[in-house]
Amino acid sequence: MKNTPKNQFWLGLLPNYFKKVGLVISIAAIIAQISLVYISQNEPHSLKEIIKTICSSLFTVGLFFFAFSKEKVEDEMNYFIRMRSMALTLLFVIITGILSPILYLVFNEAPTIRETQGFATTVILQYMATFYIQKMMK
Amino acid sequence: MKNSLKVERAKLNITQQELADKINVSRQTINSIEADRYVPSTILAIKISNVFNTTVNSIFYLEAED
Repeated sequence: MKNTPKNQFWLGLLPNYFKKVGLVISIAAIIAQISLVYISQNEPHSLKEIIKTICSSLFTVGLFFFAFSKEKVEDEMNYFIRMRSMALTLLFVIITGILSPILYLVFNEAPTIRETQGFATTVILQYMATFYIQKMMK
Repeated sequence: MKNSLKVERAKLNITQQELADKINVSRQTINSIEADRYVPSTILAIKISNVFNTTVNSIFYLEAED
């Protein structure tokens, strides 16, 4: 296919082994966060907060690796489902972006770092859910 | 759009997995095409017709509402 652009289905996805890497990072982050409650009762509060923040960031990074890595067989139907999932996720982000200032106005609170982190995680989870549900339905 | 992929596959006596391997797609994609849940791209349609040594038109055809 001489005239077919080679990057027609290019989405900049990570290689398939990043699924395992992402899963390991996410699980390790969850375990670390749970064990933090039991282990570090004598640790200062600020150190605990730092570790907690790093753990949640790692969890989000792990999810990101899992969500944006190629499937074992990455074909055009996957590409199609991915594009639809991305479109739906974008819609979710826009709606949340429109609604959140109103909610913050009502409750008179600015978003914290943890809420921003939580939002990033929610967006990735939303994308993953849309992608895998659509894939199951195909 | 309808297709006679299942019939063509039965004629050659090949499984969905075997066809998928020949054209480098997943078995799920072949299953979705056969069930009319996914319309393949021109490139994939040509690849499929090449496997069955026939034309794209003889496997994929439009319906009245298309």
